[in-house]
Amino acid sequence: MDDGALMEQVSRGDREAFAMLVEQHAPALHRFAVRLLVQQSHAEEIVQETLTRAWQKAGDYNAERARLSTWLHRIAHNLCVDRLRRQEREVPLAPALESALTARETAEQVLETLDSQDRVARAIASLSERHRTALVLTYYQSLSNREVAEIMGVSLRALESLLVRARQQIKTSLEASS
Amino acid sequence: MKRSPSQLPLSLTRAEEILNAYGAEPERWPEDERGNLLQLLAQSPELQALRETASQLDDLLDEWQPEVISHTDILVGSLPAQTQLKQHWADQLAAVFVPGLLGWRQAVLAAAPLTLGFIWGLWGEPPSDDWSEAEFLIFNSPMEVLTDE
Repeated sequence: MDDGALMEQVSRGDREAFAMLVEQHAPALHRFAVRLLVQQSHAEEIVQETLTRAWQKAGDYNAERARLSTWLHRIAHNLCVDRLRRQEREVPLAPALESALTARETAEQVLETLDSQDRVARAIASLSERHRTALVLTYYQSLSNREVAEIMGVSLRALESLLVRARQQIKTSLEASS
Repeated sequence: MKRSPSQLPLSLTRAEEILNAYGAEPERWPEDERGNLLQLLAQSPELQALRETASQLDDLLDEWQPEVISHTDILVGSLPAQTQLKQHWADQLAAVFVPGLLGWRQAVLAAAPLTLGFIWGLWGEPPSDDWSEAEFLIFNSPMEVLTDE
């Protein structure tokens, strides 16, 4: 079933169609959210919120404008960015930079409790939100560069700059930790 | 005539930018530059070395595969009401005039002919005493009229 037909059925309240949508897209959305937020519990909330919104707003989906995967990633991305910014605001007295670092340290602290094989995860967690998003969407989510640029609301040129910088930083982090 | 990127020759600088940004796997490269980059790679040892370096980082990135849980049961079991549920126009109309009718729609449709017949019986034309010529012939004819001689 193509994206348009599936969402047409979902918009009519068809739970079986929605279950199909969840099975097809939840794993990728979950990996995306984990890689962006690091914490599993936060990622699960994002996936549930994303798919609940897809259920409620299924009538808004236009298959001619974007693939369903891109549409869902855009919703998930917005929710992840809101979540990351809220985490930063939860330390109101710290200066902005310190606040951002605190949010990243929190993510890194979580990873320290995991196995040492997660060096890569830690390196990705140390990136800024925009660098991390660009890398995760392009590298892990099987989206084209145009789709990633659309989700992030940036030009192709800006996306490539983010990707080059992200890969350089990860390489440096991994070399330092090995 | 303006040529598309896939028709333009790719510069070495642009090829390096692509490898540095997207890594070693052609499937991640911009679609319209993929063919040209592959051609250029075949001719340039310098680019091949850069691709090898990018490939090493790609392999490391591949190591992080987060565990994924199933969301199907959780989500499908607790769906909220849809805000923009699309309905057939007849259902929308029925819901406006007779809330709760939708569940009985099929029963109402099935009973419609009976209801119409009942109404016709009450307010329709009274049965006529005038017999048509055909009815008269059938019911009042002597046997010789109905049988062939």
